[in-house]
Parts: sequence; C-alpha cells; structure tokens
Amino acid sequence: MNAARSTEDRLEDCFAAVFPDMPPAKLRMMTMESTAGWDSIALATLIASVEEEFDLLLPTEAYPSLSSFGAFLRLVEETK
Amino acid sequence: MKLREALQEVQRPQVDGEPFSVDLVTGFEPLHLRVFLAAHLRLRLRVDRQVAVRTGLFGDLGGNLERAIEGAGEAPVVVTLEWADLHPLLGWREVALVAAGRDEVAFLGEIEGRLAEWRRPLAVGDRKRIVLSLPVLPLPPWVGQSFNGQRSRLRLELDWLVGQFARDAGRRGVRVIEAVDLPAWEPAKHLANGFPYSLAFTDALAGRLAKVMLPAAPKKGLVTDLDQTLWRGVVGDDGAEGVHWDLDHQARVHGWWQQFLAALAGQGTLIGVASKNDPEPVNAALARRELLVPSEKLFPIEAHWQEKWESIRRIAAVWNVGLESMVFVDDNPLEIDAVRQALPQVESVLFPADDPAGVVEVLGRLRDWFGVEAIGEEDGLRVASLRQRVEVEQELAGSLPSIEERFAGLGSRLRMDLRRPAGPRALELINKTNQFNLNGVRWDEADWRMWCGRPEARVAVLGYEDRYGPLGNIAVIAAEERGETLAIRSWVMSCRAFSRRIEFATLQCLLHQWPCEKVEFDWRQTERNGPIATTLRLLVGELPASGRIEISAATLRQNLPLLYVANDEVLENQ
Repeated sequence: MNAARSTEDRLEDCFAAVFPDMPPAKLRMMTMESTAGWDSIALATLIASVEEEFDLLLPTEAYPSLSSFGAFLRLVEETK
Repeated sequence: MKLREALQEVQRPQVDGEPFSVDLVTGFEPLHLRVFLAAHLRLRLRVDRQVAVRTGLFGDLGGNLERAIEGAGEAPVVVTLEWADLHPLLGWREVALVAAGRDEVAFLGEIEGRLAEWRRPLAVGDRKRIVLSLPVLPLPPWVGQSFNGQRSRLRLELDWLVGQFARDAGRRGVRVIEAVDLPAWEPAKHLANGFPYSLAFTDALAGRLAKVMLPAAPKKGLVTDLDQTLWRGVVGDDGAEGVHWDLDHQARVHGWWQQFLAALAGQGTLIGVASKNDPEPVNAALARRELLVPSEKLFPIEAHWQEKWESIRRIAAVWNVGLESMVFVDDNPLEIDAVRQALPQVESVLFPADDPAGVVEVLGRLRDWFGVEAIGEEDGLRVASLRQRVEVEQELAGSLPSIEERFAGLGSRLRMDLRRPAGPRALELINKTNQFNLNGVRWDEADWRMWCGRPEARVAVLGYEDRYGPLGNIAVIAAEERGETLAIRSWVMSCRAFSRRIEFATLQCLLHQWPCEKVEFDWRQTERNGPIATTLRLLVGELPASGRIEISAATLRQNLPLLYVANDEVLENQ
C-alpha cells in the first residue's frame, strides 16, 4: 500500500503524528522556526518516525540541517 | 507497533475520566519509551483513558526514583535500570577515567552502596505497583576485560549485585520483568540523542512493562484431551497400562503437559477432561499412581463419544465460568476446528505432540493466559469446593427434610475482614467476577488503592465455611458511607458460593457492621450478571437496566430470607 503513496504523503503522515495539532494544509510548510513545539525531542521523534516509515537510516551528521518539511523530504529522497 | 502508531494511540481523544498517571524512572533520556509505554498502557486500560507518563531528570535515576515513589500518591512506577545508572564507567555516553590499577573492590563497593540506596524506595512494592527492568545494554569493552566469549570476573560480580538487588525488590512486591529477546542497543542514536534503545526493542519492552503493570484477567479453566495429549497412545486400544508419558517411551512431552497441568491446578486453575473414549479405560488410566497430575485435580471428566464442544459446554456449566474464560487443548486439528466453530469464545489450542519445541511454545502461551501473581487460600480449595457445591445442591434439592432444615444443617459460618488496606484478593475478585457482580465495573489497581484511602470508603472481604469445608474468601463489598446512606459501589461473590444464601448473609452482616438508614446499590445490568439481578429482585423488586437503587435498611432487613449463618469473626485494624 505504501508503494502507491508518494514520499510527500508518507512524510506528511509522520509530521502529523508528531504535531497532531497542526492543520493538515500547513504540514508541508512547517519549519522549526515557525513551529511551536519543534524542539529536540520532537526532532528526535520525527527522525525515528521517518526512518521507520521509509525503512532507512538518516545520517546523524545531517540532523542539524533537518529544520523543515522540505529538508526532510530532500534528505529522504537522497538517502532512499 | 510502529512509533507513528504509538503517537496516534497516545493522541487519540479521551473518552472520559482522569488520565491514568504513571511515573517512568530512567537515568537516560526516556524519549520513545515514554511514547510506547503510554500507547501500550492505553491499549490495556479497562476503561479508555489518556495516559500521562511523568519522567524525571536526565542522569539521575536515584533522585527520580525517590521523587516518583515518595511524591506521587498511588501512581504506579516503571523503573528501567541500565549499567550507566550504577556507575558512569559502565556507560557509553558518560565520561569516566579508567584509572590504572583501579581498586576493583572499592569500585564494586561503590555500586553496591548505590543499589542499597535504591532498595529503600523500592520497599513500597507491596503497596504500590512498581515494575522494574534490568540492564540490557552491553558493557563497554574497557570494563572488566571480557574477551574470547569468556565472561569477566567483574561482569560476574556485577550480574550478582544486580541479581541480588532484583531478588530483594521482588521480595518486596516489585514486579521484575523478563529480558526482551531482541537487539536492544542503537549506538548512533544513543550518542545523538541520549536514547539508547532501538525502536523495535522499545516497542517490545514497553509492551512487556505495560502487560506487567496492567495484567489481563487470567483464564479460569482448561479442558484437556487425553489420547496423544495427556499421554502418548490410545487408551481404548492400548489399554490403561499401554499409554505413556515418560522418556523411555518417547513420550516425555506428555509428561511435561501433565506437570504443567498439575502446576496450574496448584494455583487454582480448573482442569477438566474432554475425551472421545469409553469411560472404563479412561478411569483405569487416570487411576495409575504414576500420573504426574493428581487425578483428583481433574474435574469433571467427560469421557464418551459425544461431540467435544458439548462436553466443554457441560464442563463450563459445572465450573460456572464463562466460555471466554476457558481454554481447550487437543492434538487433533479436526477437534480443534470443531470447537472453534461451535464455541468461538473458547481459546482452542493444538497440542503438537510430535514437536517438542512446539509444545514448549504452547506451554509458554498458556502460562501467560493462566498467570496469577499470588496464590491464595481459595486457590487450593477451588476444585474441592466445586465438588462440594454439586453435593450441596443435590442435598438442598432433596425431598427430606425441609429446605429450611437443610439450610440450618449446613453449619454456615461467615468471617468478615474489614482491615485496611484490603488484601489483593478483594480487587482480584472484583475484577474477575462476572455473574454475581453488581455492575461489572472493573478497577485499575492504582484507582482502587486511591479509592480505598478515602475516609468514607468501606471494604468488606467475606470468608465462608460450612460442614462441607471452607470456601475461603468468596465475596467483597466496597461501599461509601455518606451520612445515613451506605452506597454500595461494588458487590461481587464467587460462583462457588451460590445456593447457600451467603449473599443475603453478607448483607445482614454488613447492616450490622455499618448501621445506616438507607442502602443504595450502584446497579448496572450486564450481559452476564443475571444471578445478582435475581438476588436484588428478591430484595428490592423490579430493577432498572442501570442506575442507583435505594432501599431503607429496615425494608432490606425485612426482605432477607431466614438465615442460619453465624458471623463469628470480624477482623479489623487494631
């Protein structure tokens, strides 16, 4: 079933799980600066959730750059 | 469960009620363990509630433990111990110098001292549910010099210290979990964010912690097949002496099965037999003295050629337990399928007689279903009292002498235990009784303890015996004294105590012990509480489907039938 869904859709599911109060329309525009609650715990949860969803390991040296939905999307595409 | 599913479970809107609070004590960053634990606990709660997992300070397991135990009321506590909590030298993130010529005795003494400090807060394990997991991370290779697969002396010392700590905790009522058999450590993440465990391990660990924190009600009875299950061979063909369960006859797995049944019977689980056989050879084989499960523990025995699901139904009626509380074990897949189709509520399990590893798996699964935390006086009496109940019912149904004379002749004696806090048997009875149950409401342990601590709360645990023998503690009433009203919130009685007017005697004792003007029953009809509905109708007339039923104490007394029960013992706090 996952194969039929786009990477963005699946990534959006991960973000929605970590930020349940965020309106769905805003998920793809999220950045660390603009999102209350995007702290180190949320980031670690996002990383783990994304790795689990896509069955991959994101390189730890890239963690500091993961500050937006777009950054996650780029890294997932590169790592897959 | 995936992390995303756990997050969704935790965030699901709350139906009602206060959140279920639990303290998670770790020395590491609890991160995903907190989420998975909340999700697993929520799935196991009897009433859907949100779960609030409180955590403490990073790197301070001892302080977190003190705060959780001493400052959190009745909230249960999960303690996840790791090597680094014992000494920074045993951790991977912590920095500690390995001194040349380090004094190993002093080092171990330091660890022993730390563990001794933690014994004190854990000593409340009998009053508060505490679940403990022991270290699972590998020790760093700069400690203890384990090599070539040989366990170092230091590691052996550490294992001994932690084992002793766990044993002491267990003796004080702390629940120590079995290690999860999955790769635990994820070094990159541990270094990056302080959380040491892999997601798969965390999920399994949280599931186990939650299971021990909120155990499911155990199954009550097991019905076993005989041929190729209780023993190897077909007793009708091979004869009573031709069936085996020993190593010499390649039949040891059947011996395992008998030993397992004996252990279950010893803890109070009901064991019955359903076999397609003529009764004579079955009785002869069950009379063999070398049987590893005492044959008097097997009751009833259905040996004939009728369908097994019919036998199971009859056994359920004799035991007076619901089909969903029963397990059926047979080596024949056709019989398993037939029972699954006719009685889907019964857990039907295939006994893989030719596959010892499969038998081990089955025994482990059944151990989980029938697990009980403590064995009480009642557990040893259960089968005997079921046999007695059949005898009592036969006697009371007889024609001579009159029924009142027969009740009078029972020599019934009731013992009331009003001591606080109520023992574990009270909550166990409330949570497992279906038929004689005022409202079917189940209590989580923490809520129960909290409620029991309220000044208006009253709990009576009733024990019974008559000339047929003791039944042990068979009834519980939990009530609140509100001015002149006694409001009964829970009232349960074991089905073993039916047919002896004990329920009425219980009320009589209660009214004597806690005088009041009015009694209020917190009544709710459930699918299975017909027996208590019958009792209540005799006392108060027609019943609503649910709601409070009020009756004056005087009317209640008048409506009680004639009773011949001596209430000769009341246990109270000194």
